[in-house]
Formats: sequence, structure tokens, C-alpha cells
Amino acid sequence: MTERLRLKGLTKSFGGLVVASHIDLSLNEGDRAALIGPNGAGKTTLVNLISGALAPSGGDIHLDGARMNPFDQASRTRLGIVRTFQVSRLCRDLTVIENVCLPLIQRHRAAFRLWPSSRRDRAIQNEAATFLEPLGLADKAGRRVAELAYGEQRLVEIAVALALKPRVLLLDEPAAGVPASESGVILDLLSRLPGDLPILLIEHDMELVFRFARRVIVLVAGAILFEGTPTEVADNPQIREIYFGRAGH
Amino acid sequence: MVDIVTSPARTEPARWRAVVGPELAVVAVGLLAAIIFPDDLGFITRINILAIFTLSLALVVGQAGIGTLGQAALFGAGSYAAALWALHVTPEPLSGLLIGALAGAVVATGSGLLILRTRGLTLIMLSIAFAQVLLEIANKAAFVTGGDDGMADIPVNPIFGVVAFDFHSRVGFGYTLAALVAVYFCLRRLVASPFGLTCRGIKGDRLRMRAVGAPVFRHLLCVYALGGAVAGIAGALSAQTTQVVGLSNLDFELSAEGLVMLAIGGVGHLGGALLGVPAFMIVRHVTATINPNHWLLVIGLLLVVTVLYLPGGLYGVFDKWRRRTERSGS
Repeated sequence: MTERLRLKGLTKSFGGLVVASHIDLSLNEGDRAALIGPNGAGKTTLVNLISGALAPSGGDIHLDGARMNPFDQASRTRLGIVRTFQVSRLCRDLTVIENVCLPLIQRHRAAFRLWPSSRRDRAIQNEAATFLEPLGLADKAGRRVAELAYGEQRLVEIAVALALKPRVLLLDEPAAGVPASESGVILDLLSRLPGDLPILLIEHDMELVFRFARRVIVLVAGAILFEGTPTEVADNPQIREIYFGRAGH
Repeated sequence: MVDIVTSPARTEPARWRAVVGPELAVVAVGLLAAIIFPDDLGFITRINILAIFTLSLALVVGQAGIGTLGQAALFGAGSYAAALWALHVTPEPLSGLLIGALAGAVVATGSGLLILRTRGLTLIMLSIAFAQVLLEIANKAAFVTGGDDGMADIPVNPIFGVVAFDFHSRVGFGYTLAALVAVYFCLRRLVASPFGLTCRGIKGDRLRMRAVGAPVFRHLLCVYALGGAVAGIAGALSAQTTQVVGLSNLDFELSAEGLVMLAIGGVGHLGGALLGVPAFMIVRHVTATINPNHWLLVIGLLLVVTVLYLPGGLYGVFDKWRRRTERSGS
């Protein structure tokens, strides 16, 4: 399997507070990995470090063998490190299709085109529609995002990420805020993502994690405590004690 | 971008109405005003100029979310540049407009490199500070700008060497109306472009836009420079039609009034600038005629009523009426 993403000794500290400590991690083509850990373990911080929202205090990030540290967040996104957010961060006053057009405009290098072109704009919007159809959002393309249910907003968020044609996808709690009864929709969507796309899923919903991931990474206090298959993680007494509580699940 | 996927297909006449309809409406209203009030062409010319200036605010504030109170610096830069161009190079007016636009864009780019790295209150304060610094430079550099006395008797040649500016502002009115229509047309196209959509995305959520790969700062700088060019055109028009440039062209009051006009008209739409400016100017003109000391109170009340009861401004009311009319017509 070709390696897409590699973290080498990634460290982040705010003064004396170390929030990520010498993290080594790699994601290969087609990887389905999940990052779990108790609240405050540093999961979102790790996503922020990889995506470029935060600058690391030490260590390296490599995508397809190229060092990503010098690149800012927007550049890393254009190179293929794509993330979603724990709390939906869509442009709420724009329509669904406009939100999906935004990454396409960047990908097609049309962001500084100052004059509309019905032919080229139509091509972008038609392409945006192709990302909405599989999610069942085609009929809501013209609705403002603020008018959508939260679960639907989470789906749009994933459509936006996919529109960027990611090399690596970092999903930060895609089911957060979605009723448990509807998290199956998210899982169904995740299972239909391109097979060669490496995905790092951060999630508190253990059912979702164990059904989605082939590899689970346990992060505690900014450091990787354990890495293994879902079964190995579930059977590890130390993780059961730290993460699931002394009594286990 | 114009929503092609979810909008119903348009017939050819409807498509043309969408392309140039608003500009034709501006021409029609402008001409009507000139016919009804032939003795107030100077006043209407001022409205045209301020409408262009407020369009620049509608672009940077309304579309890109750059909260600035220093737009007068860009207007003033355009005024002084056009005046100096006319005095020292050529009084040809169209080249003066270009120089005004260029000056506004250059000053906006220079100041934007600093102030656009900040947000919110800090950006507002820095934009005021920058405009005040520019005003003080213009004041001290009297050997170039005329200082406190400003520059008067700025020469302006006939437009295309044929149409000379007249005492009754007939040509000035037509010239500024043509400039307003051209600027409005270009800005409407700009807002409907991928660049415009990206600006609205940045206004909505900068972090989200970085996460879709948008170089946010470069976008903001670009839109701020474009807004500066538009404000510079307004400044140049002011210099050419009044033939006077003074420190008031850089004054904070102009920036603040522009924002109030935009708030009354509706911040989120370019059309807000076109409705807010005449509303503000007419109310001010009428109330100041009745009572020169208390017109500001009436403007204040108008602003409060707009903010509280018309969050979309006058354009929001107009837009609702238009949609209702379209629905009942279809």
C-alpha cells in the first residue's frame, strides 16, 4: 500500500502545556483509521496540526512524501489534505449548491475570475450537483444552508470535503449533533466513499468507529497510547479502563 | 455566481432583463429625477457620486465583510490624484477617472496589506487611523495639495473633446450618471462571478474558506483594492464636477455617512447603495431646509428604524415587493 500521510514526532505545546506529544502516524492508500480518546485528549488539535490550522512546535507532516510544514492551511487543502469540522462550519447564508461550488472554484482555479461565464459557471454548478445527488440533497440545492436540518448540514459538509478531491480525508466527528437514529446515514455515506481514499475519522460514537474503522488509534493526553484493530482495542484492558471507564462497556 | 442549476430556465427577454435591467432602471430614475428637478442637477450629481462611493462600501462591507470606517481615504486619494493629474498632466476627464481609480486601488492595497491582517474592531480602528494619517499628510503637504485651502479651479476639458462641462451641471449629471451605470454594471458582474461567491464565502466563514483552499488574505486584498478603485472613481468625479478638492474629501464624516447610507439602503446588496444614498440625501436636504440644526436627529431616527424594523434595509423591502410581484405574475 502506498503511504499518503506520515506524521513524524509531531508535537504541539502552548507554553508548558503539551497537547500533542511526539505523534508518529501514517495513513496508507485506502486506510480506514479512527482516532479515539477521552475529551481533551488532543484529537481535534491533531487534525488542526495536520490541516495547518495550527503550527506544530516540532515534528514533520508529509503528504505523498513531500514535507507539508511550510504550507499554510489553504495550500495544504489544495495539495489534498482535506478536513471537516467538529461543529458544522458552512457558509450559512449561501445555498447548498453555492457551498459545494466554493471548493470547486478553488480546485478549478476560478477564484480570481472577476466576470461570470455562463458556460464555465454552469460546468462548476453541474459538477457540484453530482456531489449532492448521492447524498440525497439534490432537491435542496437551492436552499440556504441555515434552513437545513443539522444532520443535512453534516452531509453537505462531507460533500464540500469530497468536492476538493482529497488525497487524505480527516473527518472530525461527522456524526456529532446528529441523532443516534440517523448516524446510520453517516455510516452509509462513509462506506460509499472512494475505496482508495485514506480516511482518519475522529468520533465518539463507538458503534460508528467499530463499524467503520479497520485500524483504531487511541490518543490520551496528546500521545498515542495504542494502535490496533477494533477488536484489539476493545480487548485491551488499559484502554477499557482509561477510555471506557473501569467497568468497561 | 448566478445559480444556474436550481433557477428555472429564463426566456431570452428575461435573460436580457437580468443582464441590464437594473442599469436601465438606474438610467430611467436618474433621467426622471433630472426632468422633474431641473434646477437641482448639482444635488443629483452629488447623489450619483455618493452612490458610486457607497457602491464601493457595498462591495467591501456587504460582500466581503470588511468592516471599514476609512473608505474616505480612498475617495480622497482619487480626488487628489485626479486633481493633480488635471493640473499637471492633462485636464482630459476620462484619463482623470482612470488615475483616480488607480490611486484609490494603490492606496487601498497599501493600507490593506496592514489592516486586512486584522478583523472586527481592530480593523475598524486601523482603517480610521489610516484615513486620519492620510488626511494629516494632505494637510501638511500644502505645496502639493494646497493643505487646508485645498485645490480650486481644477481644469476639466470637454468629454471626448466635444461635450464641455456647463455651469448648470447638465453635463456633470450625465457624466456621473454614465459612470454610475458603468460601475454598477461591472460590480454586479463581479458579484455574480466566482470571485464574488468566494468573497461571500469569506464573509460567511473565513476558517471554512481556508479549509476549502481559498487564499483568504489575497482575496480580501483584491476586493479591497477593487473597492478602492471604485471609491477613487467617485473621488475623481467629485474633483472634476466641483473643480475643488479639499481635506473634506478625506474626512471621517464621509466614511461614516457612506456606511449610514448603506445601512439604510441594505448592506447585503449592491442595490442597497443605490437606494440608501438618495434616501439619506433627500431626508437630509429636506430636514436641513426645515431645521438646519436638527437634521442629524432625523437621520439617526431613520437609521434606528431601519436597523430595528427593516434588517434588509430599503433594498430588502424592494426585493420582497419584487418577489411578490413576480410570484403573482407567474
